[in-house]
Amino acid sequence: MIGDARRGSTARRWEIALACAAALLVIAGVAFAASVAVPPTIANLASEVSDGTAATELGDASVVVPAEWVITRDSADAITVRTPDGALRASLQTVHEKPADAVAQGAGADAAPRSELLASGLTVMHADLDDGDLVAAVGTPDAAPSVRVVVQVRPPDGGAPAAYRAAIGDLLEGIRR
Amino acid sequence: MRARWTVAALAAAALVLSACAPASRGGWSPPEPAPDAVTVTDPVPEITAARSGPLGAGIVPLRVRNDAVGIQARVAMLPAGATTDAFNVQVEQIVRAAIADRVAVSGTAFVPTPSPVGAGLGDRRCAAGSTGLPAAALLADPAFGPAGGSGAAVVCGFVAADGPIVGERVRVVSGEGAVIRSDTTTTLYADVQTGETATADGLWAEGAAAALGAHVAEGLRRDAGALSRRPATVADDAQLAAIQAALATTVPSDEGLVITLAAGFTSPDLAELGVPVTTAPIDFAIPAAVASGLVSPLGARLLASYGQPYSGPVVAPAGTRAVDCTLVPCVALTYDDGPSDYTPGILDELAARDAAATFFALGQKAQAHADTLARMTREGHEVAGHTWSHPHLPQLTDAQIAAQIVDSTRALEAASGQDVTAFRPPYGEFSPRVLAVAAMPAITWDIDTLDWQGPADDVLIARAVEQPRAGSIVLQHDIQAVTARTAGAVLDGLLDRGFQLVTVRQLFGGELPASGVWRRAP
Repeated sequence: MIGDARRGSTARRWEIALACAAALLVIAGVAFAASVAVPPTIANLASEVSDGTAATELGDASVVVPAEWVITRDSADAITVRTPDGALRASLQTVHEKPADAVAQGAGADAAPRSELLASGLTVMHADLDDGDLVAAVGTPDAAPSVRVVVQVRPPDGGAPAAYRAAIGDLLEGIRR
Repeated sequence: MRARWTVAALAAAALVLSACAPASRGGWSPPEPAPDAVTVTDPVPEITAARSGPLGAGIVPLRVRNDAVGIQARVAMLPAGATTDAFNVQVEQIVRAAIADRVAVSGTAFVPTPSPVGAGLGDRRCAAGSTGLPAAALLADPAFGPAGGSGAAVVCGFVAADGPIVGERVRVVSGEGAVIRSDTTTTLYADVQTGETATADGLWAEGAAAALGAHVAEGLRRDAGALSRRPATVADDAQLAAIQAALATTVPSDEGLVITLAAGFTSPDLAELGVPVTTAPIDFAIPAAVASGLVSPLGARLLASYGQPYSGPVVAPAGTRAVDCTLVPCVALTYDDGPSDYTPGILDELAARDAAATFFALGQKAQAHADTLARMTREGHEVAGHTWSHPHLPQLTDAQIAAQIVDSTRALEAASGQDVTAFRPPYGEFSPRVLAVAAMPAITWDIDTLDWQGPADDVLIARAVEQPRAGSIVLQHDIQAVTARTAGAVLDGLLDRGFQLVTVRQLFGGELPASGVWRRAP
């Protein structure tokens, strides 16, 4: 009789241990899934696809993002956009700086910012970075605020970043103040 | 149990929401930039001016070297005619302007003068690539520049030979050694069907410079990585002048029309973009579709005929052309006492070198060599009289002299088909009575090669090549084996010295004097 009781107690302990292990596994799995899925999910809650005509507010400025690009709002005066193929990502933020100062912050010491008058009537100062990346600031010369644009280009299959030059131009031309 | 349901619901919501995230689309492509209206291209090579080229039989090469004033010039004329004369006048004006400049600088009058033996002036066609040589190299090159490298060099190249359109580039460089005083290039076009002639900028309509300038500035902007969509504009007179100068370099190519923008171009847009002032010439191709809206009627005809075989006129025989012996040193080779069986060989040598000569033929040989005399006419040579039977004219009566002249003239005219309007008295013997009876100019010589004495070949060649000066009349005999044997070498030697080989009539400007005795051109 005593022997039976001992056997029953041992089996119970094993069941509890297995249950605990299973519970830990479930918790770990849920935690992992949450860490992977939740951030994009949260981000996705703030994403939309541009129709190419509606302006997206950027604080004191706005931007008409090219059609089909994905817009993700980061804050009231900042968004991130990407091309439909995901190869080009750009962050846009209104900063209370002149274009020259705004672009100088993003460009390295070696970069020489260049200036162009856009078709929109605003001025863009831009500097090329490594790997086809680029930093630009759009606004009125010698006046704040301006919209700082930091562009990363990672074309698929080793494509040329230069192929996205016209797309960058389209994005910059869409900025309004 | 409730906790399990809660976990499951959260997981499902996360999955649903994450599945709604806009996915990347692999098939999407970034927008293509608008196509460039003009594109940077390579320089267009010139068309060969060699005999085997498309213009081989359609140009009259001209080469002038004059060490006294310090100039060497190579240009090409078109066969004379109503639709080509204007073009030729413009080409000649370029050469004459260069000569006038050198006359002013050197203080020496220009007199056509042959160069020393071995000068290497036999090749007179435009030399491939010569218009693109660095200025100092052009002056220093004995094939193109003046003696010693100081003075002026005029070189040429063909840029178009399409249908009825011909285009020639003429470059004039002057300076002293490495110090270049001026360097100008003119590109001339002619429509040999209509006679219209224009410099290359005349291929464009009014307003083309502004339009093309904007395209050029846009192209340079894009190459520099511009991002703006704002159309480039030509903002100032300096830019317009630079583009206008580029239009004066227009040449046709497979890509349409190509212009060369000289170094030193910039614009406010480019400067703002950080593009430095251009430091080397840049060639821009303007596609036919773009150019067609900006060209003149002549330019439109050039575009339309590009790639077609050249349909310009073929040069007439050398002896029938107008030759300006005030520009090039001329010499008249004359052959007496024929025709003979040697004469066709001499004609072959002349034909191979596009050269002309005068044959003082005997009347008594006319019938037996009628074919040869007819060939002389066909090939542009001059036939003149040498009496019927080669007598000592001063020893004859008036009637005998008249018979010698008239009978030979009739026989030679009948056989050759050309008017015989001059004669050469046998042995060079004449008197006032002979001249009065002959009633035509007597043409003698100032250079006697004495070929009838049977000299060695090299001796005869040296006499015939080394002695002549501008305007000389050289006496030989086409009945001598040595003369026939050395004819080619003599012709080459004279051409090498820069002589233009002409008939006696050409030596006198195309019209023989009405009377008198002439040893050489006045």
